[in-house]
Amino acid sequence: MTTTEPNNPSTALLATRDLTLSIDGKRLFEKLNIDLQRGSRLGILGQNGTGKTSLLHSLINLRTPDSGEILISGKPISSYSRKALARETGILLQQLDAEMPTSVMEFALIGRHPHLPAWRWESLEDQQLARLALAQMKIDTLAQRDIRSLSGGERQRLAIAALLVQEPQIYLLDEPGNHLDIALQIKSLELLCEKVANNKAALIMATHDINLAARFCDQILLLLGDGQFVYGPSVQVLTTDNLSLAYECSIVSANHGSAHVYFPA
Amino acid sequence: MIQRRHILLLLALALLAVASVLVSLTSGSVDIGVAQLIEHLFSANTGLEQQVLFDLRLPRTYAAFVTGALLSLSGVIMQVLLRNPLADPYILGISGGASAAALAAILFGLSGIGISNAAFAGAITSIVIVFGVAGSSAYASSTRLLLTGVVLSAGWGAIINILLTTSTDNSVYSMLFWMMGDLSESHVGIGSTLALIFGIKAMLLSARSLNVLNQGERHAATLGVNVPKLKAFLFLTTSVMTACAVTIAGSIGFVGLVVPHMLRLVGARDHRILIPASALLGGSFLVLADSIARSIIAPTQLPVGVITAIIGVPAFFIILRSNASTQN
Repeated sequence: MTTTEPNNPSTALLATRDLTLSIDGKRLFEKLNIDLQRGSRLGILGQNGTGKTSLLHSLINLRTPDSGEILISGKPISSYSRKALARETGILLQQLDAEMPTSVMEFALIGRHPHLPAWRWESLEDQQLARLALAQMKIDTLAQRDIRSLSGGERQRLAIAALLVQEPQIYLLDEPGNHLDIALQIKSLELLCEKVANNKAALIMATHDINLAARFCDQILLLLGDGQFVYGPSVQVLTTDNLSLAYECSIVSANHGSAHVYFPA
Repeated sequence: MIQRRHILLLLALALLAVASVLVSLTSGSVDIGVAQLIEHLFSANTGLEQQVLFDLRLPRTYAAFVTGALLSLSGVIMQVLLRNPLADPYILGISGGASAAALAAILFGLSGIGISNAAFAGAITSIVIVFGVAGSSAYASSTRLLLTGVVLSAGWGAIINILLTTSTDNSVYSMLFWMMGDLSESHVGIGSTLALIFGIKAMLLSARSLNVLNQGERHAATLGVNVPKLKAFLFLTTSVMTACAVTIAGSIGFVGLVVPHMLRLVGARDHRILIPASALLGGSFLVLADSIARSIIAPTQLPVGVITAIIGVPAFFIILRSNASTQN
């Protein structure tokens, strides 16, 4: 299997060094070395239960890896306080545990939390930022609604809007296309990628949708489920052989213009 | 930015607090009008009316306000930390421990400050047991804490029943009064005042983090909240505040459960508003309830806990109904 050598680690925004992760004794991957430069977008693909979400969670310090290091701008994430880490890294979680009454606007505004001192109220600029993000995700008309009354798709759009409001350097997306129709999937990822390009940030998305990853990511990490993985530039990793091996199912591709489309045979 | 309706709400509550204090100081078996009240407060005379005012009504009003504020603040925090709308300051068994210890003190013939000290010791014992059994608060899950608290309350209940059934007739009466919550012999020490001031300050500083914590612990962690540290700190603060409240006035039900919900229903969901609003409404509510408790069938005094429920239940239902109709 190909593992790229760490190239120029000093400039990497996010890097992992010999990262090993297992859950309940099952080894997910061993000695993973990722280097994510500013402006780049990494897609994580793999079958159910291969550790896509667990990897994202360990990158934002919600889960402690077995061994290895995670570096943000060259410093281990353990040296960041929760608040400092939240200014660097933001995550789109698979689900929101919203039980208490909160309005859509209030939810979007809590994205500013890591940027504000404890006693400070959100400024007018913060509110404008939140209003803009809600408008970009086309949920500005719902601003005063209670989040518990939102549909699945509206919740997902709100969660993306809140992440846009947070403005981290590293965007971690766990199934960004969940509950969204095709047009909204493309629109929201275009928006996030535009933000990544403008802010010289970086993005990592875990997804089941090979075509979404192929369209938006320049690097791919393909988890094979037995502790092995394939990591490299999208064009090298996204071959029908690799994908068929990873998904244990025959996957073929077709060309549409310059793009490849992947589907089960 | 603070919203205009929030400022209006806080102003209205501040006015209510002033009004409740005036009602409390002017009501009772000796008639003192508002005009006389102001005259008495600033004159050097030491007549009967001044004595009633300074020795009885002012300390009692102050005790009621501090207790109500402590209870509703503890209620706000417990409801967020345990992520349970039914949580109240007593849910972790703090009042049970205090009651059992206070009853034992009454049984041994202690009075006044002796009972207070016993109650405080009982409350602290309860806190130590809950967190000792449920695990260090940093990693204890809310369900585990809640279960431990409920089970411990049942244990204290049994001890209380043993004390009630084996005690002599005249001490049973004062025991029952204490358990229903009573401000007639209340005394607010400097410790409770400090607990209230420190508690409000600590909660206001964590207020925005509490807003984030409302969206779930994992989400809060990714937004920069040090969840285990915040929870441990707030559990400790609210436990001490509840212990102070129970020590002052016994277990007064309803305030800690319902005041936070009333305020949330009228739109104070942001903890930066909810926290000061709860202190004001909780304090005023208990001051008013106590004024009624000691004047409605004067000279007989009702336990204030009875009045909080009698006013609180319909008030809560009215707010709940009007809230449902504005949402539809």
